[in-house]
Amino acid sequence: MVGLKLDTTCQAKLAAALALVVRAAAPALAVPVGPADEPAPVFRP
Amino acid sequence: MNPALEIAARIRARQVTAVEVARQALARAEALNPKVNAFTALLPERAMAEAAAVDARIARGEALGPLAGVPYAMKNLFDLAGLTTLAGSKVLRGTPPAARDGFLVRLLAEAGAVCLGALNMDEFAYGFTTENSHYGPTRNPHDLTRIAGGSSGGSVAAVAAGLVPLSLGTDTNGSIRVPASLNGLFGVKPTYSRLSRHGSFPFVYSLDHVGAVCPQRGRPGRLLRRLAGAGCRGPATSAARTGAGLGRAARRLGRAARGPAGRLVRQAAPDAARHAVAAVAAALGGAGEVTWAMADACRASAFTITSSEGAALHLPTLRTRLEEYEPLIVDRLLAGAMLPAAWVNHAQRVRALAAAQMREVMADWDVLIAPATPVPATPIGQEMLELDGETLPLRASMGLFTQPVSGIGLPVVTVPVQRAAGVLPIGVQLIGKPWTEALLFRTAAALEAAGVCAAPVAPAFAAGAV
Repeated sequence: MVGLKLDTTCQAKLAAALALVVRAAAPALAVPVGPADEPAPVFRP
Repeated sequence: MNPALEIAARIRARQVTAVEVARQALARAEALNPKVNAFTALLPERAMAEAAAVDARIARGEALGPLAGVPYAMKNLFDLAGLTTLAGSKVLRGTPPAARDGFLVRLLAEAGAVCLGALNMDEFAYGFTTENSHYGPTRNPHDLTRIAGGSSGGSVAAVAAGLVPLSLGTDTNGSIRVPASLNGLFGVKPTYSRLSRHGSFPFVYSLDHVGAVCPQRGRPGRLLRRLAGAGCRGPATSAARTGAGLGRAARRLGRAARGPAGRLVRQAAPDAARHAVAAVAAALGGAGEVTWAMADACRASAFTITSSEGAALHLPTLRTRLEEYEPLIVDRLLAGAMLPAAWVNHAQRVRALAAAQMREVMADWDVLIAPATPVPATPIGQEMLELDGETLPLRASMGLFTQPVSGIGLPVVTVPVQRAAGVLPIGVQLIGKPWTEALLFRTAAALEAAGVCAAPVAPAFAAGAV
């Protein structure tokens, strides 16, 4: 797992953390983007 | 007058020496820091040497900087020469001391300010509570059983406890605005790329901002002009715009509206936050209420980018020294390392869309008003937060209202409303268009003059405050 060996307890905590991130990311992933929508890796106001 | 400027004026008038001010400030910090745990390192030798240099300049009749003799302190992710830059971590304890000061520290030194030491924070700035497992929790001077907020918790608690009149911190998703709200101070998160990040330990390159914490009558514009003034360093510093919007413009107050709302503000903000926003809006004649439909999506983008970039920064070290990381963040870092690259790219594209939509929202308004935190300071150790009938993890949710705004780099001044819930203050965000900090400072000053906002030292620490 990303180059790490984790025991089952750590794996369970990681799974919970990942579930939280997935839930938090959902509103962004739900936004449709088209080919013209470029990323903003470094934001320039 | 602002305590920092008052100190400088008294020193300039030879009513007190810089050495005496530094000695008193160090004594106060040594005596009271154990109560709040704001400092992780006091630097008495450095402070006394810098103060003596100020007094020597006075004796020689030389010109003084605007902050001559003013004590300050830095979040411990900024390089201070001779001190290991911890960024709140155990992992970095063994790294060599910084060879020189970070860029903003050097500017403060040129202005004559006297560095007292380094301040506690969430490990690697990944948190909103400063419940640091390695160095202990920083406590809220308004109620020592409660969190100071984070990740710049030490920076804010040190000012709220009257240990220093000025500190610098960083804000990626709310790390200045959240603790400023919980401690009742003015917090300044400038436009993204306004201030140099040179000589500071990074967290999320796409989102990291440097900013300041100010007490009553903070006059932060003068400070920001000094820090943004010359020769900025770093790829994410806008050299062409560093001084724009910090001058003596903005003689009028802006047109203010409540928002950006979306689901977040409309439904989630409990009474204390809503009442504080209403008080600020009423004082500013906030006529309208706007909705930023992409607020939730922008927060989600910032969350995703933070998870991934933070993880990428630490993954090599996590592979060998996992057990030395803060238990409160290690799972989140590992989870971030597992996010698909496509998600992160998508989040960056959504962030650009959200910024474009916000430009349309702000076309008719100069200042938007929103809560800084959903609630006042919570008890240390509290894990969950009840908001709008939902049970949410507290450490991730304190940035509910700050994260969307920093996600698109807009400038924000957090203004404090005292006694929002019992003895506890809460903050309100004044959100501006890019590079309009001067207007936000003027708006904050008007709120202070109207008695709506104030940022005194916490009552239990008021006697003898620096």
